[in-house]
Amino acid sequence: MRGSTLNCDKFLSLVSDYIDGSLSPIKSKEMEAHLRKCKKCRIFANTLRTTVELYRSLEKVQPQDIPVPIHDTLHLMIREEWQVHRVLVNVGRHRFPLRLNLFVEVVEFADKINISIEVPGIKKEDIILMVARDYVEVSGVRKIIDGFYYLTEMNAGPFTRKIKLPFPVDTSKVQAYLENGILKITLLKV
Amino acid sequence: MALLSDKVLVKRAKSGDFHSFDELVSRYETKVYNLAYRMLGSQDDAKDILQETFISAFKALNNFREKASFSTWIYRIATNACLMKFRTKEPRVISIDKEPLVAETIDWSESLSDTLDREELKKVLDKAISSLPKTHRVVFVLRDIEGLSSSEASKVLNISIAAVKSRLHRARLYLREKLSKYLRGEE
Repeated sequence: MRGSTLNCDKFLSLVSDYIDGSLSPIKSKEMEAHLRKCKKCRIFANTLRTTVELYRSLEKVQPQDIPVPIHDTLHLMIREEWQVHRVLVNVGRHRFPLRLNLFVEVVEFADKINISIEVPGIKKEDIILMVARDYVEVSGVRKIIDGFYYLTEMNAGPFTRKIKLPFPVDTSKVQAYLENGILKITLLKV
Repeated sequence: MALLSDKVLVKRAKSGDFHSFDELVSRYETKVYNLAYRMLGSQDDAKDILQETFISAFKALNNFREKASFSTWIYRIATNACLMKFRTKEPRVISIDKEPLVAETIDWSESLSDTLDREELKKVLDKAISSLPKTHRVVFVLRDIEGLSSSEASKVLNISIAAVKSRLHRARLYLREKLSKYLRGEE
């Protein structure tokens, strides 16, 4: 290979970079000089380039579309995971449940029902109470503070709780008030 | 939604927006699926990797520091999942340290598409790639099939750019040799 500083071994070690065009202009020229003189390496470079192009075109022409059921399952799984882990409001490093669990007590008397629901730290204006003839629904939110939670063992986020009543009540005579973090509701039998 | 950058979607997902995360999944599911399919060679495995990848991503979302792009991050999770699957599935080791010598006398680069039809060609290519050792296969898939740059691939795999280049080089030589052998009727 007179006139070229490259021998076949050197050529081979650089051939990948050469077909990628990532060699310096000087090196590229040396490679080309070698190619003009060496048929073996020319064939090698051509077939190597073709191999790579084949794989590339294979992928472009025939990308594997995700089968519809696999796609659907994936999105369903993600949705469930999102809910099951009850993630996520990321404020700092804490994860809050998506739904708060409220503790409820229902006590029945001869003429009325007393319902108590633990809603610690929740403001009156953040609670929505709905009374129907045979159920009560409480929903609302314990607001997440816009700051970095250094430590928290309390939960925050939205909540909903529907309580089925043991008997029909008079929806026009509902008493409800917030006392020491407990929502107290009194309902009269019809 | 389609116009939002990954970065914005990541931020929104982190602050609890499910739909942003779902959109990120939609953007990358085909890429992840194809990567896994190329790596593992089966639809069933690709499906598993697809699910594992996004569930892991979802769980790790809060720890994602956003130093890398979301795409690099998701590729990394997917690649690791593929490599883990290999570990349990494929104990065989093939050495490709010995580079094939230049013994080519026929230039088949021009005539190839006349010799083989698409289906056969696809089979040969798939077979060749599935016989590559995993450390080389993963580089080849990321670089030449998925079209990542050497620098991106190095970030995904957490190896140096030099290592990416060297593995890519060996993988290409190996595949070329396989194809050559097939055309010579040796395999």
